[in-house]
Amino acid sequence: MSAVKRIRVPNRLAAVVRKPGGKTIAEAVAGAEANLEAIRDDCVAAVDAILAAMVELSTVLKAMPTPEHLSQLYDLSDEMIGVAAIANLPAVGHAAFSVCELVDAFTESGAFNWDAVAVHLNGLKLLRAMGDQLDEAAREQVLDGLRAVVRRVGAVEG
Amino acid sequence: MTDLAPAPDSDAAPVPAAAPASPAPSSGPRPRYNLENAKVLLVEPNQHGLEILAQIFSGFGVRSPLRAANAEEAMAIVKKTELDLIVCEAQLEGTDGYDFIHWLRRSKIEPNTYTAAIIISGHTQMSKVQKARDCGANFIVAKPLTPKVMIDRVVWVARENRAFIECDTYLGPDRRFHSIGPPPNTEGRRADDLPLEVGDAVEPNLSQDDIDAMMQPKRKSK
Repeated sequence: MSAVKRIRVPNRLAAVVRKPGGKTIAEAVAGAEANLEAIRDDCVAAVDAILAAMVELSTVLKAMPTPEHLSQLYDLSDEMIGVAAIANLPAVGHAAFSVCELVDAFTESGAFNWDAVAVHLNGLKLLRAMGDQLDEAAREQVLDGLRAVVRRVGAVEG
Repeated sequence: MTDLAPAPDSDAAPVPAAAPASPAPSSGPRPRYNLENAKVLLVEPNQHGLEILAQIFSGFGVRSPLRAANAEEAMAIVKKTELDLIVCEAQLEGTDGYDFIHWLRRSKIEPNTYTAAIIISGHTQMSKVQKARDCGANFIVAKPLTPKVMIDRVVWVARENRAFIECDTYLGPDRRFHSIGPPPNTEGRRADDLPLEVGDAVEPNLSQDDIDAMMQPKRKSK
């Protein structure tokens, strides 16, 4: 049985938020949403820049699927998840999440499947290009297809 | 806590067990949270991600959130500024967010070593959530961030009253969150862990009168 020390410390954040003034939850959320609305166009531009970087990386990745390159793909996808939602492109964010899952499957198995990456990049490009022109059912169909690819890669490699 | 409880909703995965959302509506005035003077450090490697975080916290009322693009910058700020909250992306170049929080907890830089820390991550698979819990973070929140989820977690962290636990392998908020005892099929590692088996009573049960007398003691009349 290891020695365990319990330490009671004052919660500094609690002391700060209790001070007079401040915002209700609803006011805080409204304030943040207004601020995010102001940077929405920047986030749309960022989605395009990240997608371009992923496509550029993919040519290197196809030739040399090293752990470093896979890690770069993971980082770009992770960034995309955060930005796409603010850009009002949630389906793009979901597809980026699927790329993260795919890279994890590769990393765990030590194997690599270029076709699975290519399908994801095509899915990302389609979801970005079509945007609102695709209805909810069509977007879900694309995303279901990407998830199925990840499951298949995980099953085969695992 | 069960060592890893399910997320309270799809957007946030708790390091401790399920956290309540914002306070339930009541007929009284709604509580207000003053983050104006809160010293909040935002650690995020991507320019846009950092801007999103800054805009969210600015909208909450934080006057001037501190920003860092990597763990090294964050460590420099920790060493010179007393912080009330740290929000840190898990994926950082070099030292990652989990290792940064681990460093923070072991740093002995007071008061920051005990500062509330929330890890954010775009990809929160089970192993990452466990890593966040075990590095000493108070909470992990999944991206994409929404203001509602973020303020709920900030309020939750501000209200929590967990002791810090220090042992050879861990330093951070108590991970046994629900007080349900040691993990299943273990005897527990702490001196105050009670055995799972409850023995037979060694004294007769108290009568209801005895219990009432204990709960509501009255002065004896002379």
